[in-house]
Amino acid sequence: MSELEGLLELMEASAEVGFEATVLFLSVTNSDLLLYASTFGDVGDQLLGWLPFDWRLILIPPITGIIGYGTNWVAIRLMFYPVEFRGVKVPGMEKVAEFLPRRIQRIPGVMEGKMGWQGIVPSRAAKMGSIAYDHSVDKVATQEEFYQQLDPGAVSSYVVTRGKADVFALVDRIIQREHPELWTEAPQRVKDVVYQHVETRIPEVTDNLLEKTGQNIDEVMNVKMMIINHLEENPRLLNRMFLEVGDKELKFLVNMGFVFGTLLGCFSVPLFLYIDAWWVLPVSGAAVGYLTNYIAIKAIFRPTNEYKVGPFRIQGLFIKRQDDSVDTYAAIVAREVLTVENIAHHLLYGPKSDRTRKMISDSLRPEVDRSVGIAEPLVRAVTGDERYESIRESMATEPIDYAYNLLSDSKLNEERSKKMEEMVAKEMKKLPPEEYVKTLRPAFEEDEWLLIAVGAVLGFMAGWIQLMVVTTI
Amino acid sequence: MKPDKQTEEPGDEDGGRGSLYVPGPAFGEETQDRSGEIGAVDVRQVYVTPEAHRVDTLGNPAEPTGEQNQHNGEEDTPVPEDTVEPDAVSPSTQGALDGVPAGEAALMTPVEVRQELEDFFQKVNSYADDFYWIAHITATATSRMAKHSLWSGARTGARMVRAAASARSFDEFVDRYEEIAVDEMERQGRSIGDGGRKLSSRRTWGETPETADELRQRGEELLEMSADVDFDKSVHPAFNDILDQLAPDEARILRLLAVEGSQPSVNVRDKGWLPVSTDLVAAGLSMVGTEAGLTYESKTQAYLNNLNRLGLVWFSDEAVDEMKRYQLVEAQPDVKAAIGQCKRAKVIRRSIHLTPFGVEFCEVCLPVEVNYENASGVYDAPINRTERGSGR
Repeated sequence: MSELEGLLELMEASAEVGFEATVLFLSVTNSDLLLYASTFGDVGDQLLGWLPFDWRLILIPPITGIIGYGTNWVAIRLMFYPVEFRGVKVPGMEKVAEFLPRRIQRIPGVMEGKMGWQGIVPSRAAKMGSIAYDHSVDKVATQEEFYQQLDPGAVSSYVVTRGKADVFALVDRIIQREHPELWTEAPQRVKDVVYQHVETRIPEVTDNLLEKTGQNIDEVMNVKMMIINHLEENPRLLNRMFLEVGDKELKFLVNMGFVFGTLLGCFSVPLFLYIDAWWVLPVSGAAVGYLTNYIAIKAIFRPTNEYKVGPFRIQGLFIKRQDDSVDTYAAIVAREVLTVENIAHHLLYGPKSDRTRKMISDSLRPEVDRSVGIAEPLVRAVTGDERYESIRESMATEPIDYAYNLLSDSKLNEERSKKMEEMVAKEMKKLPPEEYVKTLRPAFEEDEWLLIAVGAVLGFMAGWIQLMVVTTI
Repeated sequence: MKPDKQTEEPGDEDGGRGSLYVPGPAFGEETQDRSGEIGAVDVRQVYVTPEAHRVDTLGNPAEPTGEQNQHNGEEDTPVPEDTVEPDAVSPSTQGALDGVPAGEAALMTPVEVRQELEDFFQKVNSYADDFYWIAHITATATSRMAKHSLWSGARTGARMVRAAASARSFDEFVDRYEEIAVDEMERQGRSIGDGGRKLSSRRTWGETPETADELRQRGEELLEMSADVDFDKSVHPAFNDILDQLAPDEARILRLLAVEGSQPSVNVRDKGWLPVSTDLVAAGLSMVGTEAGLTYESKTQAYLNNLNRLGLVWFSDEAVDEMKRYQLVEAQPDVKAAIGQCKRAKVIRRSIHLTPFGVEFCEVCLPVEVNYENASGVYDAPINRTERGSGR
């Protein structure tokens, strides 16, 4: 219990500090403000003195509009930025955090005992990647289909043409290192035989390998883990995904803040007049912040299905624009996430990479034997069994990392991503609205209240400023 | 691996006679480096053991029993005297005899070894008849199979070596040996009929071979060993059996837990509308299977049960340090589905990690870099081998 009391004290203390800071800020700027404000007020009196009510009240709707705009703008900034956590560690907070409700615990930093902020989207990168997979990628195609979209045949021929030049050097290097005498003393003709064999076998071996990978794709790949890991490492990419896909919706959200704010401001004028109390403006500010954020967020995803009211078609904005936003979504997924490079990285360095590597090594080892060909007993005799094995082992494993370098080439990735993009876009356009909405919605769902609450808090603070303006002029 | 070596007759190597007293290390190397030949080596080992004892070790044939020769005749494959290959005797007999690891035999003087063997064979003289016959059959069977398949050779070979190193007594070793041979034959799809199975001393329920006295004796031996200041056996004897009882996917789970440390898991409870009691809706949901990249991911829970049963893994009530990791677990479809079933869901955060015993197991048996900081939760991980080695 003492921890809880500690928290309460802490909260009180911080509230006081915040309040004092505001007072300090205002008292510093007040003298200047008053000067300008009173001049403005005099001018206003002269120009608008004919109105039947105090002309200052006209200022209230636009100011609330600006508050609505501001709260929404800030709320959206807070969704995406800062990408890394910014804040300070509060002693004892980690202990207290365990007793707080889950909702509060989800606020970035709370569970780590820190006070501060991190963009909701980047702080939930892994979770959002997981959700994006479950609701979009998984619905679009199977792992096998994704793999085929990359056209393993084309990838293979690319690797072969690009790799040809280097593979001799690779062979040289390995034998040089493992058994220098063998290679330096070998007659050119022997080397040529080996080179030639390597050259003729590479295309087939590569083709076979890529085909075998396709056949065993579920054994060696887990697209979900791949997406989760990739997005976790690149939270900025996730931000981009949301910002680009939801570009229009987010702008709408901010602009609507102004419109709704102004409208609500009109209602708060009579309130201000009839309830003649100082707290009306701050409270209505909080209400404005709350409502503008609430309406805007809900309007993006709701209603899921289309309603017709007279000439208007009412549907969640994001869903209405499904075809548009799907194109953007598919482009990002194909160009940044499901790329040749990422898939190769996942296959060769991911959680199931030992299987891929074993598959590759197993099919390369006999090739080494074959390339030595009839000379094998002789080579074995010269090098000794162990040395031969170790040469063969290097030949079977080292090309793997080399091939990965080839696959990270940006031109190849760009080329291969086109088909992927088409497929993802085509399939996602087919998704019914209730499925489609799940690609982004669940990511926000749990945190919506937070954005709305932030709106209310900011609105409350803005209400104070409004009060200052109206009363000082 | 060279198949031609496999088929080699034991008699071809009579040079082994000279190496009687330095068997340990050579034996060990053989098992590790040329696994393909193990089958063949082991066949010889048991095949010639009684011969070795009768002819070589004791110098002169110590009461060569008539029954043995009879058995020979019955089997119609007389054992040539020159198949004697004494170097194969010591690792199994000594390891089995008095708990001295095979490797240490090299440190004994020839006279000591001789004394040991004499004692030993006097002790097992009563088993010798049966043993000789059994060994003969199994050896023939195994060598035939070794020709048939390299893999079978490697497989049985590896098990044989383990049986030899771990058997608590000589007759237990023989039991295990035939068990392995019979298993292997069945795996190869060769019917050996009921007779073959009878050979196996596999225990059925209710016929415990040990009496209370025997058990007590083994217990005493254990204490005796522990009292022996020279006794050093740092590898836990249970690791053997544990390896036998693991699925390949389980090894992947162990690797994940050893390298990455504690993994988050959650239980979902339904609080209902009344805050009186809660119902468990789903338990032990985690991403261990996915993260480990299992072949049969749906069996993750069963695998974890087995690992828990073997004492390698604990399901802890504590959460992992990094709370953020639960976000991902809680976003998984199975957790969401469980939450969906609840009126008012409560997600309990727990974790899965290795036990200190599990850490030691991974360190000894798996080719992984164990993360000592985190792998066994708050429990102290055992000191690793290198430290222990340098301390001595």
